[in-house]
Amino acid sequence: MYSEDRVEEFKAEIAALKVRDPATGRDRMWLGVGVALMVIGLIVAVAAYPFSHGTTNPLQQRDAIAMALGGVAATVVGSAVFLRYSLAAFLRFWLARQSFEMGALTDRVVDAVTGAPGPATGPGTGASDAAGARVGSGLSGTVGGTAKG
Amino acid sequence: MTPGPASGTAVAAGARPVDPAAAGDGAVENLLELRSIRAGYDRIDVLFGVDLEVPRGSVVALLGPNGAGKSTLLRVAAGLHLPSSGDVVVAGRRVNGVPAADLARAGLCLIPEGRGVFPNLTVRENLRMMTHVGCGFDEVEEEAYHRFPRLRERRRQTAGTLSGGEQQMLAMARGLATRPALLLLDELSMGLAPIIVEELYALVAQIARAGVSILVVEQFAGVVLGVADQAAIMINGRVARTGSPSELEAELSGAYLGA
Repeated sequence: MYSEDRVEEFKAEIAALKVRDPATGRDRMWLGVGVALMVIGLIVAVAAYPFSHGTTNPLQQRDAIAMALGGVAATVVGSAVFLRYSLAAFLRFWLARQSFEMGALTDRVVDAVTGAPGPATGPGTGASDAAGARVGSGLSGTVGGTAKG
Repeated sequence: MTPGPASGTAVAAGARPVDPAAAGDGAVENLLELRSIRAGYDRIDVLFGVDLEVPRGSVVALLGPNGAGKSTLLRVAAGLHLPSSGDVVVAGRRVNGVPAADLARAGLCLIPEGRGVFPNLTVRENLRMMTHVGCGFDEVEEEAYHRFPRLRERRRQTAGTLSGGEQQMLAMARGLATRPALLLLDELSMGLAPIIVEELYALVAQIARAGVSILVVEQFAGVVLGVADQAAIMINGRVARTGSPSELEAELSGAYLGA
């Protein structure tokens, strides 16, 4: 009834499960905090104006000024937090893209130097791997050629 | 070929499958790994950094006194309770936060303390509930009655009126109907006569021989150590001792009583 196939089937089903990355949850939380600070700070800053105009008491007016400054500060902090965490995801993919394109560029350079046919552009062709395998032999051939020369 | 996760879904860091071949030196593949598990209820911590492994095809016994956190650890492993920290790794993949139903559909089965049968349904109806995994009802019934002939006699009886031993048989039959690859058993012997406990553990040994990996929690060590390949003793939310059954048998009283 039970066999090794059942365990392999189990492993395959577990591998297919969707597992949430805990880091993405934290990023979303901070994005929410940033937005909340921006909104609350703006409301407080705007509310300080009618508050200051609603009184002739200089002490209360100064309180309103402090409130406005606090609101502005909260908005600035919230904007910074929002910017940081919204850029984080973008920059992650940007870095990955940069790494891939650097690798592809290196492969094209190596192929040009060794005279091998260039790899097809785009991911997943496997040509990058083949070109990478030729790197060592190509370079050593060049060095050998230079030494003999 | 193992399918990858659906696109657009972030995969947890460290979710890289563990390749047993890469481990080298005949390293055993673990079907379940609990790494530094901390968990609790509201503000009360119950587990304080528990590490436990269940190798593929083995029986691991988890022993300990009442309140040690054994059942909580099983619930964490089954996905019923989210740990506050630590990793639950099943078949080389971190599965923290995965719904328990998804783990169950994949082949991880928990038979809980208290059996978990539907008391107001008959034996047949309880078995019919297990057809959600896709197997036919006739097949489920046939296998259940083959393993537990007593259930055939009681098939029209409501589960709540069965004896403790019969309820445990029904719970086992339901669990085995899902063809689990990883079986979690919580207090199999609770409230049962010794002769019934022996019968059940003989079945556990038979299931283990068929290749199912089993983690069994028990308060009473006597019978379970006879079928276990490895054992661990939990005290106050921590694993105090691990080793083979023969190694631990001598240390059990000291571990429980702190001698």
